[in-house]
Amino acid sequence: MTLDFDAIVVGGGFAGVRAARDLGDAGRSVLLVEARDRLGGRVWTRPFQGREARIEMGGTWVSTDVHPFTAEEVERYGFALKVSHAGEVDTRWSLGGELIHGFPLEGEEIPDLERVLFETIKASHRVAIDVPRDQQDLADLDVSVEEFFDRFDPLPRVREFLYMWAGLGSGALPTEWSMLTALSLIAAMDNSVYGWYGAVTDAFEDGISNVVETLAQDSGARIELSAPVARIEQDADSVRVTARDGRSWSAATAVVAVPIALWPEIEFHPPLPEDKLAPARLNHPGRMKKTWMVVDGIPDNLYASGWGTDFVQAFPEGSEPDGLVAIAMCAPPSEMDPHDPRAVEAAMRQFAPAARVLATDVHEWRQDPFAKGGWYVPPPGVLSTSHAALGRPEGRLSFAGADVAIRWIGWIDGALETGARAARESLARKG
Amino acid sequence: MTSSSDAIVVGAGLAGLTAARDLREAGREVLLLEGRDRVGGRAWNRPMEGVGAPIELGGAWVNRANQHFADAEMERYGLRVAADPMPPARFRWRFDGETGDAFPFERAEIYEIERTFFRLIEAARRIDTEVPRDRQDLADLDVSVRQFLRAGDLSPRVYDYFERFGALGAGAADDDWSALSALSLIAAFGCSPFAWFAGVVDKIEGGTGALVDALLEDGASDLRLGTTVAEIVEDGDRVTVTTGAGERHEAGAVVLATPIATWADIRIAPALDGGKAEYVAHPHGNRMAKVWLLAEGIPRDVFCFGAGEPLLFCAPQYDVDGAVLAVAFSSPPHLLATDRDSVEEALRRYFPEARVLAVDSHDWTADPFARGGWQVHRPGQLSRHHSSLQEPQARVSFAGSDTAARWIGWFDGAIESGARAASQAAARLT
Repeated sequence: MTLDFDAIVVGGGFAGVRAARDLGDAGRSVLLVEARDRLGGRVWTRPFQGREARIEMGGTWVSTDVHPFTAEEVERYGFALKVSHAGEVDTRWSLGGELIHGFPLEGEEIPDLERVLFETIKASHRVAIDVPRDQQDLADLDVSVEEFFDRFDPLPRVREFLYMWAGLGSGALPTEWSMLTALSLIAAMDNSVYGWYGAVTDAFEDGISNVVETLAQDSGARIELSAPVARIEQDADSVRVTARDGRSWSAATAVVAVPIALWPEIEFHPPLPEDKLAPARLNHPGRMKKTWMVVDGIPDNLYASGWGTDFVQAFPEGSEPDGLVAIAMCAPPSEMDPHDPRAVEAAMRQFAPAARVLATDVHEWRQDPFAKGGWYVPPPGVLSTSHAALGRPEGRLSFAGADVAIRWIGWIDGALETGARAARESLARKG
Repeated sequence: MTSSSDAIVVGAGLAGLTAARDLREAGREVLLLEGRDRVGGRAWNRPMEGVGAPIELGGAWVNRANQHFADAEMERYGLRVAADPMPPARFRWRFDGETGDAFPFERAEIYEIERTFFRLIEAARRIDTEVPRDRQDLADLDVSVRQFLRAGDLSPRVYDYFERFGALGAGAADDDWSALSALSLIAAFGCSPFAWFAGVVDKIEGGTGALVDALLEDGASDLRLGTTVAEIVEDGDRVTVTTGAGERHEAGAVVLATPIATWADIRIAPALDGGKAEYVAHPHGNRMAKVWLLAEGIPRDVFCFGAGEPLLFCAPQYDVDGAVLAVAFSSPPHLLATDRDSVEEALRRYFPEARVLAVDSHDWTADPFARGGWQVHRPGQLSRHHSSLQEPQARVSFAGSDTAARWIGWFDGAIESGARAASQAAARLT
């Protein structure tokens, strides 16, 4: 039997290109099939609509201190990093409708925050970050963020302060996502809650899509864009991948590196087991709208955070001739339309009353049929029951993507982790 | 000529005054002997020399939320917490010889600081502050602050940050006091290292003298000022206290409520038990200098804090005719000389424009009735001998914030110990 390729990688995000690159390094012939007309998946560098400035529409931030796979790529290719925001900032907070300049908590709120953060870090110490959560005794932590904080009953403004950071890290409501997801990330940050802020200040100088392209080219893989996959069949010796347009390829092994929310839309033969499909059907509550704008009338070092505001966080990152280029994170419960400059302006004025918004740009990942949401934030009850199943190989198929990562769930480093693991599995399989 | 009373209290600081008041309330006649010509001990409120504004030369702060004995006394006497007239909002830092207004730590150091806060809280949570430390399994924490911090593998600047904030609460060099002494206070502050610093804001309206006077008046004891004690000798059912002037006073019970560091000056028979004798042989190392300064050319809303600085910490407190009246602290190993020129020089390291108009302080280390600041336990003392400080020897009970179970070295601990010693003495008298 003659097969078209040694391996087929379905999905050209970070996980897919890493798998392809590692397979290429091992001398395998690889086909990379991507549904979109571009690589990168939920990372995407492109110009601000109608302008020069290049902006990151999706995943952006990395920290080589705590992201080992990212550090490996930075080392291998010599990518330059830039600090995205730091230094003396004009910190503003909006809590409970009140705008505060500087740190928003005071008096007994500060030791109360200290207490709840201690409990949070203490819980994170229970998480072994390289072991699937369902192989540890963590079910009591796999509850909603709200339920976890309820146990410690923070003061009202302390709770809002914590919810801002939770919203920023998830794009979901505190009732909707699991504290075990948050604790897994805190553990991965070396048991640091400060890392929730401190680990996300570095970005790739030349844009993150450049990193994806570099890996893809280095892989030597044949790349098929605009080829959404309809069907993946396997038998004892081979895998066949068929696109919606009928194109079809065979290989000895395949890596499925698409968001798990897409699994139910692909016809698998034999079908995927239920412990994979059930969490995939749930999808996840992350629906952050990462909103870019050209804005004036705000300080160029503004660092705004809020709960009960449309944006949980907003800060300028660059400039255009007519204003600053700012990023603002719109998390639920806000239902603001980020395409409407007037709505975005009103949202910015919650922090900076003189703000004037001249243009906006956003990619709504929730509406994107090949993403169906932002980065993966497992809801309560998934990690403590199905974590290992998500990334478990099925016959000749390996599964990759930040969604199925063991350590950096939902993050770029998690995507790389799973791509590397899937490539290792594939190489062993071929054998 | 020998006088006779039900009980004798030696030392009229807050502990002695509380003990005398409680014994009086239990219907006992009390003779109260005080070495100084004033009451209050290490709490001393008086007008600043050359300025006139009232200042606290010794203990000053209360934290009503966590200090239940102090809170109850303030409630009883209708005392209130004074509103902070000048709450500083910002810091000026000096680390590595550089002055700055931004938090002087980089990202990697902030992770270390966070880890160390976690470690402090985790350790503090092991402590039951109601129970003497030698009755808990805490020996591993009863090491020097230096040894405890070094085990955290900290970079030098982060080490300094914690060591110096600790020194602000101890007045001792890092090998002269126990991490368990620090952790006991963190535990008492609701396991909050932050509150240990931030909780030190509230003062008593009218000064500590208001509380001292209320206790004194309520106690209505027979008070003898300027009366030092040379001997406390117990013999059967009587205790004889002999003063430095050779007067003899007898009672059925005695409360010794003077600083432990001064116990060596008194002949006590029968001899002190092993735990107490250990404390007498190795008194604490708190050499804190608390200096009041009236200055111009400094902002009203900025705390100073620095490592390697003679002026460890300075906080503006009051406005006096347009100048800032501030309180400053200095702790070994960088002790500040307390004359005007030295204080000005130290302050100018933070604020080059500063002009110091007046200074005032009391040298508690040289004071024969104090021999140092408040109690900070040496490594190895609390985990072996803490409870002995609270145990009476037959008819002699021991009081003072030095002996406290919970708020060691604080007003609250003084009141706690005075109440405990009074009830021990009262039990002996029935």
